[in-house]
Amino acid sequence: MLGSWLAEPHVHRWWHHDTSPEAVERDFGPAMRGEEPAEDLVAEVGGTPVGLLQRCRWYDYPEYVAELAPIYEVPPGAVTIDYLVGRPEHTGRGLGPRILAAAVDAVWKRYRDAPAIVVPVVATNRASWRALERVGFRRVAFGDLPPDNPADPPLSYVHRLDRPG
Amino acid sequence: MRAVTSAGLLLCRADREVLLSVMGGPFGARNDVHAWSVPKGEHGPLDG
Repeated sequence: MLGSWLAEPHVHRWWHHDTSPEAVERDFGPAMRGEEPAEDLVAEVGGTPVGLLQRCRWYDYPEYVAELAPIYEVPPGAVTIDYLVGRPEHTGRGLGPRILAAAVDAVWKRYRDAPAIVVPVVATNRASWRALERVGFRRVAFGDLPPDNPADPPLSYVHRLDRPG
Repeated sequence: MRAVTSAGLLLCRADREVLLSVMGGPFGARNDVHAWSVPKGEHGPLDG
């Protein structure tokens, strides 16, 4: 299922992921087996798998911190997330913000010392950063980052949500 | 097509909770749908 989701045009457009079984195993297998600090989660609604959520601490992947550093300094302990809605018929229903709201709540519980969630999004992926804004993220920086899809311009927005209270 | 329509209606119900489950354990990326039902995770509130 994960491979088929990644192959959907509305996902592949942004993720630009190799969807061969070997690539999916290479890129998702270690996290599924608990061999990576990152975690992959499935989002279900009413028993139906609808999306993928990835989450990790920024500083578990220093190369990502370094990549973002020219435009934004990630606070210690901050977490990042990535996400997709797998099937085209499940898009356009406000499902993204619902998944993100659940994801945010889960991040605060899972990473007790995380002060914030910081998420860079390529600027052309309006649906993605609008979903972040709908659940309370605010744009804190912008600048050029290597896009997942090399066809996209590099301009990216950085969104941040601080732990409440 | 009928199943797709039903799923869509299902998703529109505001009282449906989004459930997040950590994938992992003995399952790998090649295990297809079964890997997605491992209930190791946590529940997240639905506020949409």
